[in-house]
Amino acid sequence: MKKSILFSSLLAIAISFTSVAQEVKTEEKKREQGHYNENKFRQMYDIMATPNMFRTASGAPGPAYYQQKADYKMDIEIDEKNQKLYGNETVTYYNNSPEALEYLWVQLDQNMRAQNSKTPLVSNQRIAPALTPEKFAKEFMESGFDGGFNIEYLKDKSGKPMSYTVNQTMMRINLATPLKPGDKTVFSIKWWYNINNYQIDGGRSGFELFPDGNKLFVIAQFFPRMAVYSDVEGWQNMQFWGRGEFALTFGDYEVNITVPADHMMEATGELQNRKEVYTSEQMKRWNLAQNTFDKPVLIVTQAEAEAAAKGFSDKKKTWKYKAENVRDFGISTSRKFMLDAMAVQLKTVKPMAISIYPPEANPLWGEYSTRAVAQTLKTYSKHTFDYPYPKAVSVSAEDQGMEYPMICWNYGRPDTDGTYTDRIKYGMLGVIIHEVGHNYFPMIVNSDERQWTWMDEGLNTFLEYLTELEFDKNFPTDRGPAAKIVSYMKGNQNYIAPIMSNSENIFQFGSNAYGKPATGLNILRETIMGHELFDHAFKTYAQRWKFKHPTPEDFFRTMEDASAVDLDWFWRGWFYSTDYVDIAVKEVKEYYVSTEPTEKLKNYKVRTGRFTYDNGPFLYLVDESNVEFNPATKKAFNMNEVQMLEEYVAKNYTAEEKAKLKAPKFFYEVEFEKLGGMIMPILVELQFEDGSTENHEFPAQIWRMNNSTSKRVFATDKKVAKIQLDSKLETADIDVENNVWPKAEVKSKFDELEKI
Amino acid sequence: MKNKYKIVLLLTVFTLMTSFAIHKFYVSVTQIDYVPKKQRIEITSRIFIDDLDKGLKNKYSKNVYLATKKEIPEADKLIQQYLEEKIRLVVNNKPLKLQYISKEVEDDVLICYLKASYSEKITTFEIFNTILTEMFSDQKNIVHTDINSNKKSVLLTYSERSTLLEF
Repeated sequence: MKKSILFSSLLAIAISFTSVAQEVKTEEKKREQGHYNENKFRQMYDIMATPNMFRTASGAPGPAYYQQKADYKMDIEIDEKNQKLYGNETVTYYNNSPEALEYLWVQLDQNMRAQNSKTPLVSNQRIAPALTPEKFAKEFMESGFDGGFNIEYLKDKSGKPMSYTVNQTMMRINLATPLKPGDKTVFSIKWWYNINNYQIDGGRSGFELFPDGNKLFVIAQFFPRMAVYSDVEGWQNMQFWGRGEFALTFGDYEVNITVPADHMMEATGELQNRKEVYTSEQMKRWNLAQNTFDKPVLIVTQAEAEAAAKGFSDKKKTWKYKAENVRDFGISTSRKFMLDAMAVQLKTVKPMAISIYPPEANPLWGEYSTRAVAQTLKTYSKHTFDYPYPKAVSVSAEDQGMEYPMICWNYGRPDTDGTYTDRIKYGMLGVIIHEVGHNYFPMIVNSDERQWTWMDEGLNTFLEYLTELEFDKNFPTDRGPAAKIVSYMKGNQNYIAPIMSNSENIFQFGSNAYGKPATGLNILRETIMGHELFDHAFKTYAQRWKFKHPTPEDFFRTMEDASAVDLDWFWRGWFYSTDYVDIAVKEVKEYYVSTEPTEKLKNYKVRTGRFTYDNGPFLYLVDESNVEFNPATKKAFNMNEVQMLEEYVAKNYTAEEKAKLKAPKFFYEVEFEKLGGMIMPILVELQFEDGSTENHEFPAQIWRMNNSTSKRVFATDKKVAKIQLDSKLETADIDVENNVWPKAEVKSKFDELEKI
Repeated sequence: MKNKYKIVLLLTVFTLMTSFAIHKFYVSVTQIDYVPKKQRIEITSRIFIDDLDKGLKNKYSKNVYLATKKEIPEADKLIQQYLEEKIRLVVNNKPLKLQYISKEVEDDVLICYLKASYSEKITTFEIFNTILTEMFSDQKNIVHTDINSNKKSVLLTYSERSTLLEF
C-alpha cells in the first residue's frame, strides 16, 4: 500500500520533470487551460429542471402535483348556407393550484384568421417578378378572409358583463376578486365566426366544398378554450401562430350542436339522443355494430348518403353530446356522410371504432378505415393503457390529418373511377393510425404541444410505426427505422434544430418533431435497451401521466427510473443537440503469434518495469506492419506448435476444462473512430471467409473515457474476410461507407447512369 | 476514390417531409454539384410523387399515374419537359442546356437525375427553381450546391425563385 503511494508520487514528480523539460525545449507550446466537465456521459443536472414536489426525480407526478379543470356547456349552431358558426358556452373553471389567480387566460385560436392577425406579418415576402391575374388579385387586391372570433358578450354567473382584454389569440378575463385555491368560477361567452374553406384558406378546421355544392365540415378550435395554468409555465399563453398546436385543460363537456336536419354527424363524446337523430333502421344497425368485433357494420349506407346529398333541408336538428375528461372537442358534419362501426375487444373495455366518409371515399374507406382504427386501439393499448374513451372516429377529410379527442380528420380518397394506388392506400392508413393514435398522445397523456411538438408527435409516430407493422407486416413505413432518418441528420446544420426546440422555431418540422424522436425511441427499443426494458418503461410513463400534463423531463426521467438504464448521454445527444452518429473502422491490424521477440519486445520487461516478476517465457504478438515481422509466422495459430502454451495447458487444466477451451487461430486489433458527436454502441459483425458471421456489441459506455477512438481485439478461429459496423443499419450512422474493412470502392450514381 | 466517395455522400440529401404529418408540406430538394474532373454538372432532384403527379396533370392536362403500374409511357418525356422549364441554370451568364437522364422511386419520392456538360472555370452560377410553385403557393424548393468546393444551401419559393452564386 505504502509502496505504491511512494511509487506514484515519484511518478508524478518524474512526469512533472519531463513536462518542465519539454516546456524549456519548445517554448511556444503553452500549457493547456482547464475545462468544465464536458464528458458526454455527464448527468443532465445542467439542463434539466430541478425535481420538486410537483414533479419528482423519478419522473412521476409528485405529492403536490395539481392540474386545473374546465367544464363546458355549449350550444353550437352551424349555418351551412352562410358558412357561419354561432356558439355560446358556460365555463366552470376550477382552481386546483395552490395560488390565487387574478385573471384567467382563454384561447381564441380562430383569431389567427382575423383581419388583424399577426401570423401573416411574421413571414418574409419578396416581389414575385411574374404573377397570374388570379395570384395578383389575391395578393394585392383582395382584403382576405376574416375568420376571427366575434365576441358578443362575456358575462359572470349572475349575468353581469365581465372585463376582458384580447391580445391576438389570447383573451385575459379580469376577475373582480382573485380566484382562491380550491375555488371555482363560472362565466359565459357568446360568439360567432365565419367558417373557412380550408382548401383555400388553410387550417385544421373548416369545410371542404364538393362539386355538387355540398359541404363537409370538420370543426375544431371553434370555441373560446381555457389556457393551461401549471407549475411549469404559469399560464401557457404563448400565442397561436399557426404551427405549434395546443395546450389544453381537461374537463367535462355537454355540447348541443344544431345543423341542417339532413346532416349526419360525429363529434367528441357520447351521443345522448341517438334515437332522435338516427332512423330506426340505423338504430338497429348501430346495435348490431356494438356486438360485432370482426368487421365494420354499415350504419349509414352509400345509397342513403347519396340520397341525402341530393337535398338541402331547411329544417334543423340538434345533436347532443357528453364527454368526460377530455381536453378538447371536435365536430364533423355533412349530409354526404356514410358511417360504419365495429366494436373493439380490449382487455378491460370494448370501445367502438367508427368511420364517417362521403361516397367519394369509397371503395377505400369502407374497406380499411374502421379496421385501421381498431388496430390502432389494440396496439396502442398494449403499449400504454386500455383506451379509456367509448369510441374513436376517423373522418374522411381531404388534405387533412388532424386529431381531437375521440375524433380525427384524415385524407386519402380513391380516384373518381374508384381505383387507388398503394401510395394513397398506405398514405390513408398511415394518417388514420397516426391521428387515432393521438388519442393517447396528447389527448390523454396531455403534453404541451404549444411548447413541444415532439412530445406528442414523436411518441405517437413511434407507436404509429409499431401499429403499421402489426396491421400489415409489409407496410411501407417511412418513419421509425434508423436508416430513414440519416438523410435528415447528415444535412446542413444550418437547417437542423435540436428536437428540444420550441414548436414554432423548428426547421424541417416533420423530420425534427416526428421522424427523429420516433427513430430515437426505436433505437432505444431495438438496440440500446431491448424490448422488455423499453416497453415497461414506456408503459410506465404513459400510465403515470395518463390524464395529466407531463414535461420532457418527466418522460426522460421515467424511462431511466423504470429501467435502470442510464440514458442521459442519449437524451443529451439525440434530443438536446444536433449531433449525428458516425462511427468508422479506422484501422485493422492482424497479429501473428511468435515465440521470437522483436528488438522492441526484448526490452519489454525493462520498459514496463517488470523487473522482478513475470519473467516469461512470453508468446509475442507481432503485426505485419512491423519491420521485424517474420513472414514465416504469418499463419493460423496452432497451440500445438507452441510448446510453452501446450505445456501450460496440460499442466493447469483438467480434461473437462480443456474440452471447453477455445482454439483461436487469428488475432485482430480493430480501432474504431467516432467521427460524429452522438454516442452509440459499436455493433460489429465479423464476416468469415466461409460466409459465416459473428456479432459483437460494445455498449455506448465504451466511449466514456475516450470520445474519439476505441480499440477491441478479436481472436477468431476462422479468418476474417470483412468487418462490418452496424450491418443492420440500426444506429442512423450517417456515413456507412466508412463502416467497412477492407474499404469498398464506391461508385458515383452518375457514373453508373452514364454506363447505361 | 476519395473524390467519388464524397460525391455519393452529397447526392443523398435531407429527408423530405412525408404525408403522415399533420399538415401537408410542399417541398423538393435538389442537389447540384459541379464535378470538374468529369466536366459535368450533376443535378439530383427529389420531389414528392403525388405532388409532381398533380403538377404534371395541371400542366399537361394528362393523368400520368407516376410510379404506378398505370404510369403512361410518355411520363419520362413529360417530366423532362417539366424539369427543363422548372430548373434553369445560367453559368457564367450563359443559359445551360440540361439533359434529363432518368428517374428513380424511393418511398413516396421521385428522384430525377439530370446533367449538363461544362468544362470552363465557373465564376457565376445562377439557379432558377420553380418546381411546383405554380401548384402550391407554399411550395419550398431547397437547393444544395457543391461548386468549386463551396457548399451552399438556399431555399427557393414562389416569390424567391432564383439565386445567384458568385465565385
